[in-house]
Order: sequence, then structure tokens, then C-alpha cells
Amino acid sequence: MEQLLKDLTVVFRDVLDDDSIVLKEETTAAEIEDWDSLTHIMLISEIEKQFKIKFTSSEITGFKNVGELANSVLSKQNS
Amino acid sequence: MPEILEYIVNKISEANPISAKKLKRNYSKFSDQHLTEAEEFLNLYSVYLNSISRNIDYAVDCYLKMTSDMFTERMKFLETGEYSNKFYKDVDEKIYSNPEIMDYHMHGLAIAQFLWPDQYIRFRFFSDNLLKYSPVNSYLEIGGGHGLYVREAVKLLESKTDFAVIDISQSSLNICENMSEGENVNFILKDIFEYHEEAKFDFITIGEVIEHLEDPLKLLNKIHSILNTGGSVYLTTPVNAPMIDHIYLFNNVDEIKELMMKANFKIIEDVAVYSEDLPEELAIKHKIPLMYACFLKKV
Repeated sequence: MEQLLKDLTVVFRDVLDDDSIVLKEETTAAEIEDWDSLTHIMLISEIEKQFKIKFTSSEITGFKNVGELANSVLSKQNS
Repeated sequence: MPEILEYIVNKISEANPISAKKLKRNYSKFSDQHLTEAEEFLNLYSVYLNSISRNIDYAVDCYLKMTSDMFTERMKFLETGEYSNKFYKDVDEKIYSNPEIMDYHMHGLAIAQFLWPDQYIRFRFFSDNLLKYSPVNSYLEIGGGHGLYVREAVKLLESKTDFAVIDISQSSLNICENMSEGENVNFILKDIFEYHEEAKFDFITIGEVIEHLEDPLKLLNKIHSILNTGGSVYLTTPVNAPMIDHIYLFNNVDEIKELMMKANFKIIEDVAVYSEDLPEELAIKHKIPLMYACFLKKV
């Protein structure tokens, strides 16, 4: 999980153009100013590309924090 | 902040905080008039939902499902540059013939009417300018949606105006009838292409319909044929707006304008609003949906 959070942090920093971002499992959109419905599409798209996975529609709009997003990535990588 | 609006946004936020973030940012900028009209519409809609044994929580669930579909469609669109459906028969099979999807899509859109600034700006554009196109003795809306526009037209136009709404969906007509509160509105369950009456109209409203068709020009020609000389049309349609039931892709506003010219209409005035509050170059770069509305007259 620790490495995955670091990898996701790189994606978030790159897409949102904000080097101050450090993701933790409990991080939510409320704490990252530019993480909204518009940038969420870019983030999801980039994560799918980099981790070679596909999220379902309900997953994409249902993540409540970074931990849920990361767990979803992990479960898809392991399946 | 009206209680019902706050309740809806909080419910959305509980389920989808990322999406709610934009809604909260939006509604902090709503004018008093916007808030008042939103409250009036949503309270009326809530009464309608109760009359069909539903409630506003149900409508919020519908909104969440609809936005989830939109998200998926948008991701596909950004990948392919196309809408996922190109043929009416596919949408008919997958969406229109599926009551569950139709239901949540319809109720989801109702919630969006006042939550999304682009929808409201076009509604105000209609309301603020409609009287310029009077006298209107006969008014037709093709595809009445949730009755928002016909309701406003009934409020604004002369009481002697004959109003009609034509739609292929009985459930849409039911909502429209309940929401419009217009006693002198004639609700017609029919495909507009099957409308062969001699009576023509002074004003025709057609909002968010032509993008659902393979050949929008055919419908514009039909509208031209049932519009009185000197009559006017209010039309809305989006650019780059992938939805589960959108077929005809307009890549920019010029393509819409060209189509209006082909159908022998001239644009009297228009408005275009991006669905995201971004500088234009970024909106174009990210293919942000651009919501277009115009008043037309015959050339």
C-alpha cells in the first residue's frame, strides 16, 4: 500500500500540477483543492493507463477517499 | 440557501463528495432569483414525486446514477472522440425500452435543472426574451421534459394562447402535465413526424432533442413546415456532451449554426455556456460540454 500511495501521489501531482500533494489513505477531495469532478476524470483516466486496469462506473463515482481508490487498484492488480 | 436545495446537495455529497464539490462551488454563486426559482421548482417536483409514491431521496439516487453514466460516457468520449451510440435503434433498445434506466435518467435530469448553472442560464435566456417574439397565439413544445419551459411560457404569454406539448413518452407527458400547472395546455402523445394537422404554430420550443437523432436536419425541416410565417423557434442543443442517449455529435457551435442555415432558419440571438467554469482555451482543450441556445426565425 505504501508504494502504491507514493505512485498515486506522483499521478495526482502530475495531473493537478501541485507538488505539495502527499496522499494518505484517509485523504479526501475536500483536502485537495483542484480534485473535483472535472479533474477526477483526468485522474481516473491516467491511473487506468498507468496501472493497466479499468474501473467500473459505480467505482469511479463512489470513491470516498484515496484509501478506497488504492484498494480498488490493488484488488484489480491482484485479480 | 433554500432548505430543499441544501438537502439535495448534502445527500449528493454523502454519496459522491467529488461531484458535490463542484455543486457547492456553483451554488455559492447563485443569484437570489436563481435560488428562489430553484426552490419553487424543486418543491413542486417533490410534491409530484410524492404523488407517484417516490420522494426527493429517490430523485437524488437517480441523479447519482445519471452522473455516473455521464462520467463513463465522458471517459469513452475523451478516448474515442465520438458518442458511444450512433444509431437511434441502439439507444431505443438499450435506453428507451428500458423503463428502469429511463426512470432514473429522467428524474436525475430534473434535479440537474437548477443545480447546473449552464441549464439555468439557458432557462433565463428563454424567459428573459420570450416576450420579444410575441404575439404568440399558438405555442408548441416538442419533447416537454419536466415541464419547466412550458410552465414558464404559460406564465409569460397571453392567457388566450393555445399551448401544446408533443412527446413520444407518456411518462414524460405525465411529469410535464403535473409540473406545468397549465390548464389550457394540450398534451399530445405522438411522434412529431406523425403530426399532420393543418394548424401551424407561432412559437415552437425544442430543448435538448436534436442531439438524440441521427438526422436532426429532418426534424428542423419538419419544424419549419409547421411554423407560421413570422413565427419563432427556441432551440437548445449541446456541443461535446456525451450522454447515454445522445447520438448526433456537434463538435462546435459553428456546426449547429450551419445546420440551422441548411434548414432555412436564421439565428436572431443565441447564448453558449460551458458546463465547467474554465477559461475558453482550457474548455476547448478538454472538450468541455458547451450548452447552446438560440431563437430562430424562418429565412
